[in-house]
Amino acid sequence: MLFRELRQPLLRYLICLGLTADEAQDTVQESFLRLHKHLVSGGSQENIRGWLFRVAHNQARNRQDRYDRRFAAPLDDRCDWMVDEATPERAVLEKEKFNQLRRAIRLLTECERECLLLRAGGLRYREIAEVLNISISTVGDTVDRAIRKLAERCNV
Amino acid sequence: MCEASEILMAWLDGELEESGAAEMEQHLRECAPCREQAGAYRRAAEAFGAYCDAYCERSLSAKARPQVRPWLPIAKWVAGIAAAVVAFFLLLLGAPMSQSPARTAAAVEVAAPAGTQGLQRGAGTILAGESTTSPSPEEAAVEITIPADAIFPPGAVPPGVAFSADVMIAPDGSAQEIRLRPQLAEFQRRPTQ
Repeated sequence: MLFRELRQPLLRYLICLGLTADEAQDTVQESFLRLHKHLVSGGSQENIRGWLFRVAHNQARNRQDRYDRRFAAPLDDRCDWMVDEATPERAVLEKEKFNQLRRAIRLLTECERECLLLRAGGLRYREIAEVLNISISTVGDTVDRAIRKLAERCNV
Repeated sequence: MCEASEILMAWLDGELEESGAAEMEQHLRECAPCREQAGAYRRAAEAFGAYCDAYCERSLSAKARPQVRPWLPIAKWVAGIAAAVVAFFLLLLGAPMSQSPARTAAAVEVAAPAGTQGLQRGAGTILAGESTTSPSPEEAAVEITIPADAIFPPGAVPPGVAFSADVMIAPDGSAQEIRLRPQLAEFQRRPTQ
C-alpha cells in the first residue's frame, strides 16, 4: 500500500530532477529496498515519506556529476509535446503558457526548484526541510519566493 | 502589498498554525489584493504541477516508444537483396548435392501440451510418410510428433506453442542439420491424436 501510494510521486520527483526514466525507476526501486531494510532493522516508522524522498534525493545527487547538465536544466527541453492533441487555437495559447512557465522555471535557483518539486510531491514543509537538510523556515521562505517568481512571470 | 502576503503561500499549503490561519482568513476577507495574489499563487502552483506531470509522462512514454529509425526500410531492402544473392549461390552449390538418393529429410514436430490430448509422456507418434516441407520430391520425409512435455520440463512450453524441426539425416543415420522453428498460429494444423 505504501509502495502504491508513494511510488508515483517519487518517480515524478526523480524524473523532474533530470534523471532518465530508467534511472528514476532504478532509484525508486533501490529506495524502497532501503526502506524495507530500514523498517526490518527496527528503524523509525515516523515520517516514512520524508525518509524515502531523502534517500532517493541523495541517490539522485550521487548521479549528479554524471548528469550535471540535465540535472541543472531538467524541465527545459521537450516542451512542444503537451499540446499535440489540443485544438490549434487552444494549442497556441497552451504552448505559449507552457513556454512562459518553462522560462520562469529555468530562472529558479536549484533550491527553489527542488522545494517546489518536493511540495508538488505532497511533502509538508517539515519533510522538505529534512530532505534538503535546511530549516523549516528556509523552506517556507523558498517556496514563497519561488511561487512568487512563477506567478509574476507567468501571469497564469 | 501588505505584510500578510509573505505568509500567503504557507497559508495555502496549510502550514500556518490554527490561530495564524484564522487571522489570515480574516485578513483575506478584507484585502482584495491579497485575495487576488492567493489566487495567482494557487494557479502558479497548479501549473507547475501540470508541467511536472506532462514532463514526467513524456519521459516515461519516450522510453516505452521505440526510437524511429529512418534507415530501417533501406536496411530491409539491402538485407533482402543480400539474402537473394546468397540464396542464388547456395542453390548453385547445393544442386548437385541434392541428387544424393540416401539423404532423407524428416520433419519433426513438437506439439504443445494440451489437456484434451491423451498423449503419454515420452510417446512419439508417426503421423505420415510424407511431408510438405520435404526439400525435394524424391526425398522421403518422415513426420514425427512428440509431445512437448516429453522433451521440455512441465510448464516450460506454454499451451498453444509448438515447434517444428527439420532434421536432415545422412546416409550413416546421423542427424546432419537441425532447424527448430517455433509455431504459434499453425500448431493445430494437424491432429496430434
